Amino acid sequence: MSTEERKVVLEVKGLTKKFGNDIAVKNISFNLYDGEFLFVIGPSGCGKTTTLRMIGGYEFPSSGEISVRGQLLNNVPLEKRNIGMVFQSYALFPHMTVQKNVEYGLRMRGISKGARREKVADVLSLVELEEFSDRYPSQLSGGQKQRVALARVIVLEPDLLLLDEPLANLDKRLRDTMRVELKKLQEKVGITTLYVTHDQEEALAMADRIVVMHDGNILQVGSPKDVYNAPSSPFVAGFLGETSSFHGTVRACPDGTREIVVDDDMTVKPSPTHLLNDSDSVFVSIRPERIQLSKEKQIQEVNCTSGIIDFVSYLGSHVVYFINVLSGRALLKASEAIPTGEASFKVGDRVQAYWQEENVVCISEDREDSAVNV
Amino acid sequence: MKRTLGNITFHLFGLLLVTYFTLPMVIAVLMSFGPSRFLRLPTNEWTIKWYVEFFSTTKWMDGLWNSLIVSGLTIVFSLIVGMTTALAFTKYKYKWGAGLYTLSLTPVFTPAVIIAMALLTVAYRTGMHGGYTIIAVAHSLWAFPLVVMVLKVSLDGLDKSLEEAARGMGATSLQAFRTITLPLVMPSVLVGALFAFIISINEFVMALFLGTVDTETLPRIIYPVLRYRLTPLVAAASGVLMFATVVMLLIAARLVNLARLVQNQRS
Amino acid sequence: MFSRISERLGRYQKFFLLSPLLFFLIFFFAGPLLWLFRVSLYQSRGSSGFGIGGADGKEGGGFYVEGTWTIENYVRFFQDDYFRDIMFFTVELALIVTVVTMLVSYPMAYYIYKAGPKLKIFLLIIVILPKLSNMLVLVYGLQILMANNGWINKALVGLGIIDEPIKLVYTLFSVVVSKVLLIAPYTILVITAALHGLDKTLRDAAMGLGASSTKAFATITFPLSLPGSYVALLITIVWALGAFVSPLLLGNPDLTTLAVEVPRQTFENVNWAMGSAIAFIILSLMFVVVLIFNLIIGSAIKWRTE
Repeated sequence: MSTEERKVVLEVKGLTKKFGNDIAVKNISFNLYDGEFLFVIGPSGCGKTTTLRMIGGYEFPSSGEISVRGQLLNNVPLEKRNIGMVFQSYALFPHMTVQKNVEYGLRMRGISKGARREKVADVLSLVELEEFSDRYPSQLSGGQKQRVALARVIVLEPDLLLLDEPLANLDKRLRDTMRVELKKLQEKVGITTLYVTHDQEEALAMADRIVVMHDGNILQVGSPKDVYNAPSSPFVAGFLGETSSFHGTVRACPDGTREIVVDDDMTVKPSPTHLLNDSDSVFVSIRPERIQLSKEKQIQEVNCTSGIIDFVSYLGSHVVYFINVLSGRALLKASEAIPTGEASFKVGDRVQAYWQEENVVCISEDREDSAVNV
Repeated sequence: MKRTLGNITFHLFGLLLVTYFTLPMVIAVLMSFGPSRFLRLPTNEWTIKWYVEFFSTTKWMDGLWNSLIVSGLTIVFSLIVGMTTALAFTKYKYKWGAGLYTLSLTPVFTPAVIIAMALLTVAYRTGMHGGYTIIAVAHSLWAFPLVVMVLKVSLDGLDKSLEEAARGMGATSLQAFRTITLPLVMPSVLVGALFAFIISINEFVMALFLGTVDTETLPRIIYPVLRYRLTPLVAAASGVLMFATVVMLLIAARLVNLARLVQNQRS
Repeated sequence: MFSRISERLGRYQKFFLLSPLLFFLIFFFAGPLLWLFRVSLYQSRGSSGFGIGGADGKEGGGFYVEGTWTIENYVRFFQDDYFRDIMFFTVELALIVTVVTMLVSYPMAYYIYKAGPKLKIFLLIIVILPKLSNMLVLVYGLQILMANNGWINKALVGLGIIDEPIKLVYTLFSVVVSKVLLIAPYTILVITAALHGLDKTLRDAAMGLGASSTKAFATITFPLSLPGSYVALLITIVWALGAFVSPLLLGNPDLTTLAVEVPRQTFENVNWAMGSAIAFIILSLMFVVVLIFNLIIGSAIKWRTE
């Protein structure tokens, strides 16, 4: 489906939020398309939760516009917006049963008891909690509470679903399971969803598109693949996944191409190279899984460096080697899948680390970390 | 050896203090069941004649009735002022917020005589003198800070997102308060009301200054008898007051449990 | 812009919720206190003024002369021995009551603090008990206890400590005992709360470093509980200055306090201006005493616990 064919459900334009002298959200704009699962990620304090709350109506923007399905929401009070929000703490009403919690919004809309009962039953079966309708929140597990919080807003058929770090309070195993369930649920119901989290792994696993925020600005918007493989700024490169990063200077090569000199021992040549300017200062990033190691003397001229393995981190399915390169001045991380359970190298080994040119990410530092609006 | 001696003195001292606190009341209650103004124990001349006299004397019954009316009004006033104040300070941030909050609690530290005298001069000018209202107002000045404190603790313990979640699902501010916040803090509200009642029904000084013969509360009627005639009827009257307090305590305890049950069925 | 409108609404909303409090405080507390001061500046009709005027208080109704401004009441207060003595006694009584209350409260609070859970609840109920009952009841009970043939005298005589019953009731002793009983529940609760708020591990750390339990108490627990105890102290002295019921019912004419004098001037002498003046003087005394205490002791405590 091309971008023009998809309907825009949420349009955010020039959104800004100031708390006194502190500008939490700095003039951001982005769109959310029908049925999309969009993630807004960033470190604590980057403004993602504030943005979410402004869209939901829990905070007033200092300036900017928020529209849902073409209707400007700025003057629409919180309770009249048809936007469902799931809070980090779930905010289940402790003095009401699951049934009463889920039908609360319907009650506020004046829907009759019979119709309410039916709708609640439907949505509870959707989240597989039919037998729990008479339980109280205190009698539910974390995952169950989460599903009730979801059911509670889904039953109202909102235009937009907002999720504020919904999996943050769950332990790792449950989180992984819930990720799959959430994604499946979202696809099944087809509800347009905006999900806020600081967990980049979650975003990569579930998102249709990702918005990366830092310090109140949007740094990049794109699919998980784009954001991971083609980060537009050093921050994005470092925020998603693991990476080894370096700085270098661009140098022209005799054959017309260019290469980046990081050090005597390390020259990086990306592909393509025509976008680089001579003498530019460049940020270089290489993902650990893209680096290969060998005990051979010299594998290739460029995109290769030598070092000594300083630490081996055993993670069950793979190991990560921490390699001292550039005479100990820098650290290179290389990962290796170990289906047999045996790592190929050990601490103290002298190795050559090499990678392919298409796996190099380089970003000119003369334009670093600029705000990107898409 | 030294440690046990210290321990013993410690516990002895505790016992002494416990006696100090309970003895006057115990004696008063005993006297109310005794035959005469001289307490001789052990005695088997227990009688309820003082209580009978109390309940059959118009003057005393009127006093009780007045006390109950004033206490009821006190509950109403202090809950209105106390609840709105606690809610306001929980929900919003104010400039000089902390100072304003402490300031709003100062009436509870003001001695009764001063409150009574100040309100007296104003009451006379506005013709409120002698009515139930002005006495209840005076009592509320002592009671509402307690309501605020008790309620604030409860409100602070609530998850802030509960009300937001309710509003996000279409409830107005008032609906959210009524269906979510209020049920959850109801126990504290009841405790606050209980405090207001206890303060009011036992209060003597303000009632003395601000009331007239028509609105004499029970403590006011007890006073001259206590000062000049000293019969166990006074003890019976006090016993009735204490009984009223205990009844309220039990009612409050029951209501707290009931409140929880009702919410589950009604909503 | 819309944000300004909603902000304006927001500002309106938070004061709307606070309006009952503001109304109450202004019209029934601050206002009357200011008016009290104003009344104290009226010229009094003198003690011969009978004739309760109209119910609306016009013409002062025999209480004071309308429209006058004078400080004669205050002047008279400070010049007349009678009033000055009462004032000195009030302060004296307040100090005695404060000392005794603190002496009673701190150990009791510590006792509760150290007690096991069941005992703790029992003790807390005991402490609250005087507050659940009428102060007049307590006075009555104390009167009987301290009478010449009351239990205390009987016990003292029986134990051979004294030969004849001593006069306990209607003395300074009875006044102090009564007032302390009325205030102590509050101070005990405040100090108990302060003690419970302390970090228990601090004491453990001190003892781990070699301090005996007494030493640990003296150097760690007690100083850290001082800020909370100081609040209790202030409450006590403020309330003790307003002592009314205790001296009235368990005292004698020599033991009149300012608070007792207020209704006497107001109702018996029908001299409202004077009554108000005395009430205002009590208020001022409270401020002055709190100020002095804050300056002297307050800063000392802050220095010790910093």
